[in-house]
Amino acid sequence: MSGPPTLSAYRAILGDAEVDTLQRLGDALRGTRLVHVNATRTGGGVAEILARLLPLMAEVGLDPRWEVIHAAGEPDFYRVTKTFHNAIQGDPVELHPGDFDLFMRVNRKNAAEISLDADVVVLHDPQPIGLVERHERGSARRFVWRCHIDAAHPDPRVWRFLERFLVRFDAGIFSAAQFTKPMPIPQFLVAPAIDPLSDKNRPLEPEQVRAVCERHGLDPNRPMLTQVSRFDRFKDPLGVIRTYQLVRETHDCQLVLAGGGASDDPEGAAVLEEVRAAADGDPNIHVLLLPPDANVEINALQRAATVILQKSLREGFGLTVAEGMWKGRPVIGGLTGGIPLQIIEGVTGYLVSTPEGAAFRARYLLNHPEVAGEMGRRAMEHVRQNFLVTRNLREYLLLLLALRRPGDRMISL
Amino acid sequence: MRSPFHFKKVLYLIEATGRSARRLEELLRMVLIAPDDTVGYHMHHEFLVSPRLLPEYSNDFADWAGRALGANRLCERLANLRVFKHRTLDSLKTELARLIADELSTVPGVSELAVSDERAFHFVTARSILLEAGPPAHDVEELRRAITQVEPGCLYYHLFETRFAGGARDGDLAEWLHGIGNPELAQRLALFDPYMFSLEDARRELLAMLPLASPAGGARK
Repeated sequence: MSGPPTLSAYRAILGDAEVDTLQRLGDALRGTRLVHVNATRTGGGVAEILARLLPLMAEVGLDPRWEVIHAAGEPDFYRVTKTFHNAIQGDPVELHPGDFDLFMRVNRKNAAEISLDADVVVLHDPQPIGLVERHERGSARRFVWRCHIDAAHPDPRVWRFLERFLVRFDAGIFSAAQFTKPMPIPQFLVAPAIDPLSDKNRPLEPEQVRAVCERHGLDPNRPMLTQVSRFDRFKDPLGVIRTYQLVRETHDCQLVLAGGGASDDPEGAAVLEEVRAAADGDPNIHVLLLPPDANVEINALQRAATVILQKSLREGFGLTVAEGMWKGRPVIGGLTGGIPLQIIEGVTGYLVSTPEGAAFRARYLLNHPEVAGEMGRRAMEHVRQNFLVTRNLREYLLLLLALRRPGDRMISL
Repeated sequence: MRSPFHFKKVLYLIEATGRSARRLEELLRMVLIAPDDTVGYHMHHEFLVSPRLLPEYSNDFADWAGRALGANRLCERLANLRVFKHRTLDSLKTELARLIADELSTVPGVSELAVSDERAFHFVTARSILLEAGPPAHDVEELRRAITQVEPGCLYYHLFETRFAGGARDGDLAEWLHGIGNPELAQRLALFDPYMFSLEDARRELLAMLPLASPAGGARK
């Protein structure tokens, strides 16, 4: 692909009115200098979002930059930030003496070296949070913390440490209300989004989908239940196999469990083994271990599916749900995390808590393909309205307007 | 000459309030202290989320009471709230609180119902950014033409938001029609219940309404 798509490429998907709105909001903010700071330029969801978002921000008239913190000579920094990441999500963590000092040392070094010369500075996740120490009282420059993870039940030791930074921000951005906790700064809610023009989501030719099915030995003429996820217990792959087995009692169907990340993750490798054992040689269960860049492959597998499952037991926002819905497929999702925010129960998909519940809904959809088709169409429309990258851009623009006029509940342009 | 009607659309920037409820008593407490615009947002934002779909329950409170908490009687009563009977959001909030309090005091066991953290009711608020959208309408014919073209967000603003935020009790569409000498049509629009239609269906209803009440040569300039 030759660079990220321009705004005009989205007109065919969104319509002129939505793109014109983005341009008008951009006009009101023309020249606003914005700097994003995160921990990496490649790999991971945040880098993926910024790579797509920044060119669009520039196109509507902002002056955006992207800086990345570095930890040269401090290899332990990323262990500490990974610990913080897990602690914010409420996972049990082990803190070592000196972790907080190391975190501060790296952040202060970066604060001295990275140019934060901008009207608005957005710091993503905990890694660069210490850069907010550069926020001087009375300065017109605004600092925003974009937290991409669920911070509702953090480890108190880590949260107490982070609070000294949090109070210095002008605003926070969280993915959903249930991921926030009370703080003395405004907390805006911006749901994650998918890019309809990325390899993972762009339209594919039927031959491309067929080729992927052939490569993996899938029969395109029989119903396919598909879950795309890392091999992780919270994604409940064993529950998905149980679901398939229950559906299989009445329908000659196939199961596709596709995911990656097991090679460098000891727990993932163990889960993958459990999944293979549970599949027990069933030729209709296809466990596909995909490389991290298999985006077109995932796209094709979702398009080939009859019903998409995301039967998580615990989830962040769970954007694979929106990805599946964007392919016009009904999605059966676990009643957890951000999944209920994406699925309108009974309209764009179903929410379930057990393999039995998932099997009941899947059997219904297989027996009523016209309902499945209508549900898929509604799901795609719901994603178009609410979960595309252009909505993410729009909300950033609204945020910038709100930061300019912090006391105004209503702004007329 | 009466000034033309200007269509606007509203864009929301949503803000967490840090307040949530897992039980009815908590919901009641939070409703009582919630800012008016928070209650207004939870009353109808869902229509904007899916312009082609009519939500099963027209407001978040009814939806939560029914789907999450399982308080079906309260759910039905909240769903049937006649929002625009109230002159102010504060009055609406009082009625909302009255229904919840009534449920708590009359239905045995309902106070024991509770949901998990994941199904809690989260109170949010919204900052509204208004944009002019569509050409101005000088008469009923131009209004009708504009309604065929404007985005669902415009219909949402004029059907829901201006009933409270804009201070036009019957909605600014009805007030404008009254102002240009179309009281009958204004009355029909004032009685139109947007809670019963998706935004796209509401568009069709409005279009069906407009020519019926505008006799040839009447208010059209």
